[in-house]
Parts: sequence; structure tokens; C-alpha cells
Amino acid sequence: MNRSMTGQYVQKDSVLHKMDARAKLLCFILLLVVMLKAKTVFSYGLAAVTLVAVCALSKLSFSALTSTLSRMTTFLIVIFLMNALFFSTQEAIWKWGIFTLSREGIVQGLHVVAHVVLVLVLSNLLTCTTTPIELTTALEVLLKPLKVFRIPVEMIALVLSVALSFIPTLLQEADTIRKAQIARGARFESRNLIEKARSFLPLILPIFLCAFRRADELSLAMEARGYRGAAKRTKKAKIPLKKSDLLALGICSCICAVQFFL
Amino acid sequence: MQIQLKQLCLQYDCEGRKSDVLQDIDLQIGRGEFIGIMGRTGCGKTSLVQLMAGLLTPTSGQVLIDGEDINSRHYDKTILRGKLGYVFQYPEYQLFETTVYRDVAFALKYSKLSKKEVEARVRQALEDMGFDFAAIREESPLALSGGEKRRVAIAGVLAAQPEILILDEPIAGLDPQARDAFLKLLKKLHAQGTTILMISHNADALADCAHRLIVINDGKKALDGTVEEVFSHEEVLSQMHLDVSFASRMSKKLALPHSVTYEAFVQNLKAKLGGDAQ
Repeated sequence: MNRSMTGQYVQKDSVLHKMDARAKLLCFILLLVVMLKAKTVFSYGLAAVTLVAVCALSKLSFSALTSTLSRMTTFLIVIFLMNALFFSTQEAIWKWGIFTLSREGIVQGLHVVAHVVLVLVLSNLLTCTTTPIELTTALEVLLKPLKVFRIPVEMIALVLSVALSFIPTLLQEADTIRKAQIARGARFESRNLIEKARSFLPLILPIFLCAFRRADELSLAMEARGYRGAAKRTKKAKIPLKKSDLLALGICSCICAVQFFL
Repeated sequence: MQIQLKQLCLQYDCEGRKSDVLQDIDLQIGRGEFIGIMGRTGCGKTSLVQLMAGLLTPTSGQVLIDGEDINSRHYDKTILRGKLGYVFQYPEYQLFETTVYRDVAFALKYSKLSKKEVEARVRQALEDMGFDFAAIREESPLALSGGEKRRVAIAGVLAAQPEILILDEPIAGLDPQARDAFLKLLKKLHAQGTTILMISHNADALADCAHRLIVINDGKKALDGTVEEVFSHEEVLSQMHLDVSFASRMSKKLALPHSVTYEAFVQNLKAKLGGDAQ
């Protein structure tokens, strides 16, 4: 793949990168609420300003932050049109068959698009500044209370971390298989929808087989090294939250609280 | 010249940090050559051949095949697909069809051959790879053993009868008998006029088959010449973590005339022993 992948960890030296993943995840959830609570001009302003500030703190390049957006353009246009044309049947500006363009619909569409954009950039920020391992460890800690309900938190965390760490490997293998099939004369562009779906078979099947083979090998390798479930695992080092992490949590909570009054 | 590389560069851009994979590669490959490509892991040899196959796009420079720039906007890449076959490092992973016959025939799906011609080519390719056509054609390719899978996958590339055949580590992991049979097949294809480029770490196999060796080191062309020439630079190669062939190493140790193939070495040795005896 010539282009670098989007939403993947990018090594940088910034406050956000150094922040404790547990605190970062909590802040992420708080800010997520801020983004999704935006309804009025002021609340959108607050959400946007907060997002820009966090982006600046991350020291990430503009392209790294917005790369997911450019890929989602079609999706954004589609959800906007769906909302604009189907949301309301009253106050039609324009009507044709089942399509009704309404003022309410346009407003609703803009809201949805704005929310999706804000959330996408925010999640990009999280995944670009946190390694998958840090993220799953944090998740494991935050999900711990669920153990009361006999939910196997460690197992879930392990599954997540394995899944995340295998994404680059699988992508690379998928790329090799794609190239191999192209070299054999496979064509992935076709006007006919059924033909198009069929033409992806030479890609999808080997990729699935690859994933299963990997899973098989990994489970064997883990068992060979004596892995017997993740129960009662202890951490090598217990790191308490730093003052700066608590400060960040405080600031995020304040912003979140303010958002509820705007 | 069938393949020409002009000032070829390939760069990866990782979040602002650029890393050079290949730098200023100039190369000319004539029709019907058998070329071995050597280089330590990660030196850029796979990228080099993928550029030739049009699977990667160069950052700068040109790849000309039969005089045409394959990355030009007007070039129809389907021509290239028909001309050039590429066997990947683990070709067995590309199998997907329900029967061996259909998988091998996949490469001919868009060709304008008649059903009969397709069958003839599939039969030829499978028999070349040492299969009994009637016995294997209806088998599921995914149910075969590892070695058989690889041979079926290679047959899937050979069925298109490419003029240029690129092979990335084709013999790694094959047992000695399968390896020898495969090298023999490559020699046969070469004798029929196919241009062959083979990446390999196996210096003996390269000495046995190839006529010219290209050594890539750190994204640059380090050595390029006949096998004899390249293997005469044993120290240079060992600095690049590479090996010369057994015959080449032994003939140096025994102070015999330099030879790279096993047969030539044995002959030289016999001549020397015979001479001493007299």
C-alpha cells in the first residue's frame, strides 16, 4: 500500500501522547458527550473550540487528523441527503415522489453530519496518540467493575488487543493477495453489480483463510507457552494517575458540564 | 531491450518521515535472459520486481516494458498482465476456487481463448508442475498439502504463458526433490524463450540456473554481472550478508580455477586430482 493507513498510532512527542491512557479514555468519553450534546450555535462553538484545542495539543499533522474524513465524504453526503429528503414531510420546499426536501430535514442533516465529523476527528485523535496496547490496558482497567456481573473482562481485553495488533498484519497480507490476484489478471472494476461482487471473491476468500490460519497459529503458540486463560493476571507495574492526568480530567468534566447548560 | 528501468526511485512517506526503498536504479534486461536477484532481507528486491510488474508505482523514474512506459496514463495495464507472470513468495495463499482446474484457469478468465485452448493450457501448466491432470483437476485446491498447493498456484501463473516470469523466493520451503524439479522446469521455460527473474537467497540454485546476477543492497544496485563475475567478489557479498555458491567457495579454498556451478567444480577437481596423480 502506497498511502499510509489512517487512524493508526503516529509517534510524536506531545502532551496527549504522554497522557495516561486510562485518563485519556475517560476524557475521550467526556468530550464525546460534549460533541454529541452540541445543538445550538454556542454549544457547537464550544465543541469546535475544544476539538481544535485538543488537536493543537496533539501536534499531529492536519492530514493525519482529517484523513478519515476525506474517505468518508461519500458517506457524509449520503447521510445528509437521506436526512434532507426523508426526515419530514411537512413544509416541503420541493417534492418528487417519495422525496421531500424540507427545511427541518436539511437542519437535521447538517446536525448529523456535524456530529459525525466532530466524533470522527475526536476518535482519530484518540487512536493516533494511543498505542493499541495502551488502549486495551486502559479499557481493561475501566471495565473492571463489570466483573461483579461475571463478565470476563480480561478475556475481552485480550481479544481486543489481539484483534488490534493483528490489523496491520492482516492488512499487509490482504495487500499481498490483492497484488497476487491482479498479477494473475483479476479485475476488480466492473459495472455489473453482481459481477463486481463476484470479482471480490478471489480477495475475500484467501484473506479469510489467512485470518483463520493466523488465529490457529496464535492459539497454538499461546498454549505452547503455557497460557491458561487470563484469570488472576497481575500488572508488572502499578502506575498511579499523574497530576496532569487529573487536571485534564477536571478540565474535560468542566467543559462537559458547561455543555449541558448551553 | 525488453525491460528498462530508468532512474527508478521508490519512497515511502510515513507521517512526514520519508524513507527511501530504492534509489536511482538503472537496469536493462534483454529478452530471454535468466536473471537472479540477491540481497539481504529488506534491501528492496521485492519492491524492485513489483515495480517491474506494475504492482507498485515509482516515486520517480520510468519502467519501460517493450519500450512502453507502464506507468504512463495511456498504457493499458491489461497488456502487461498478459505478458508478465508474477509468482509471489507464498503463492499458495492466493488459491480460492472450488477446484484446481478453475483456480489454474483463473488467469485465462479474460483472455479470448476458446474452451479447448484454455483446457490445453491448464493441462500443460499442471503437467509441467508434475501433476496428473485427470487426477488433480476436480480436487479442491485448499485440501491439498502445502507443497502441492504451491505447485498448483505456480501452475496458475504459468497457464497464462507469460513472456516474462518473475519469481519471488519460489524455492524457499520446498523439499530438495521438488526444488530440483522446479529449477529444471524454469530451465525448460527459459530454453523456450521466457525471460526469467528470480529472487532467491539460494546461491547454489542461482548459480545453477541464472546467467546474470543483480545484487541489491540498501536500495541501490550493488553488483550486476555474470554469475562468475558477481561470485568472484566474495568479500563484498559477505559484507552484504550474502553467500556465494558452494562451488565458488570451495574452488577458492582449494585454489582451483574459479567455477560457480557444482558440475564445473567437480570437473575442475577431477582434472586437478588426475593431474597430480600423473
